[in-house]
Amino acid sequence: MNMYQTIKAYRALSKSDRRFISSQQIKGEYTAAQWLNQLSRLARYDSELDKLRFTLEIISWLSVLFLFLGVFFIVFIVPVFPIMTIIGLGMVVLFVTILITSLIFNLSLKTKDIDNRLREPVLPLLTLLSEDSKQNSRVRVKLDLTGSLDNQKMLSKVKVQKTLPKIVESHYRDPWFEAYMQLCDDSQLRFEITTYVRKRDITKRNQRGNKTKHVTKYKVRHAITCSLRYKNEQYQLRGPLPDNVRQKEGSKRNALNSKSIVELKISDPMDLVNLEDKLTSRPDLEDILAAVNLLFQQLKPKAA
Amino acid sequence: MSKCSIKKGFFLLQTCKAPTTQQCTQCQRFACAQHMSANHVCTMCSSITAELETELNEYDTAWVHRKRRNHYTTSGATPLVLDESGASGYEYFDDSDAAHFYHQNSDYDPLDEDSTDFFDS
Repeated sequence: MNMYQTIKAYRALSKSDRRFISSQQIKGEYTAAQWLNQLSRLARYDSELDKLRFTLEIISWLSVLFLFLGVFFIVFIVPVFPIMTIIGLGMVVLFVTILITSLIFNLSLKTKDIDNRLREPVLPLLTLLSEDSKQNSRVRVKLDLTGSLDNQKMLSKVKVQKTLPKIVESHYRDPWFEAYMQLCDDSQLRFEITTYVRKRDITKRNQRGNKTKHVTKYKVRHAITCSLRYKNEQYQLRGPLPDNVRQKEGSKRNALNSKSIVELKISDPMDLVNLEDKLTSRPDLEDILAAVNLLFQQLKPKAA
Repeated sequence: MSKCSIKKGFFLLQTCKAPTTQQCTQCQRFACAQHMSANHVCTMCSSITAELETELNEYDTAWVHRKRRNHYTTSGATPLVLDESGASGYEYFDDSDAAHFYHQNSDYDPLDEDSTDFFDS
C-alpha cells in the first residue's frame, strides 16, 4: 500500500521537483500559490517515502529476528529431527533474501529522500506567510537542504590545542532558508534561517595513558534574521525597541531588523550523543513565527 | 451579492470581501468558496470543530485559522488589521470574530471589560 502511494506521489512530481530531490536545492521567484503547489507536492511525496522506508526498516528487523530463529532451528532442532533440515535452511535462505532486498531497497530510497525541514517548518511557514503576501506578487525563495556539514559551508578549521588533549575546531555556516516577499500593505518582509555548527574533534588519552580516544562533539544553533521594510507614512514605532531589534531609517521606508537565536532543544538526554538528531534539528515553526512577529509588534498605525 | 466577511492573513489581518452568496450554517456569516468548508460551514467554524475532533487536514485554510488563533492566544501578541482602504488600524475583531477565538471557553464574554485578553483595547 505504501509502495503504491509512494509511486503515485513520485509520478505526480514534475521535472523540476525531481531535480530538487537530486540536488536538495531550489531557488526562484514565483507566486505564493505556485510555491505552495510545488512544495506541497514534494512534501506529500516525502511523507509517503518516509512511511515506506519505515515499513522497510520494520521488515529488516523482523527478518533479522526470523533469521535468528532459523539459525536456532538448525542448531538445536535439526540434530534431533534431521527431517527438519529443509525447513531450517529454507527459513535462513528466505529471511537472508528478504533482509538483503529490504536493505538495498531502503538504501536506494534514501537517495530519493527529502530533508524533513521541507515539511516542518518550511511548508507550513510559507502557507501562513502566503496569507499576508500581496496578491499575484512573486515570493523569492532560496532553499538548501544539502546539510550543514558540507565543506563549502565550512567557515574555519583551527587547531585550538596542539598538545593532548588535542582539539580541532571547525565552524560551519548553513543559510538554508531565505525568503523575500511583498506584503498586502506594501511592506517588504525578508527572513533567513541559518544553522551554525561548531564541530570539535578531540583526541585524548585515557586516565591510565595507554589508550588514545577520538571524540567528536557538536554544538548547533539556529539564527533567524528578519527584516521588515515598512512605509513611514503608514506606521510608527510603538515604543523603545528591544535589544535584538534595530531600526534603519530611510526617506520613504524604514527597516526593522532582528536576529533571534534558537538553541538546540534537548528533550531526551540521548540526543546529546545522537549526532543525527543534532544535525537535523530545526527551529520550531513557533520560534520562527515569534521572530517574525517581533517586528510587527514594534509597529502601530499612524493616526490619519 | 454579499461579501465574504472572514478575516484572512496571519500578521496582517484583513476581511476577505470576495463576492459570495453562501452563508455559514453555524455563525450565519457570509463566506466565499475559499473560506467555506464542506457542509456549508465557514473555515473559521470548521477550524474549531476540527481542533476538537482532531480531523484537520494539514495546511488548509482552516489550519491557518487554527494556527493564527493559537499563536495569538498563547503569545499575547496583537495582529495588525488592515481596513478597507488598505491602511492598518486597531479594530482587530468584531464580537463575532472574538467568539470564534474563544469558542471553547464557555466563560468568555466579548464585552467583559475585566477580561485581560488581547482583544481588550
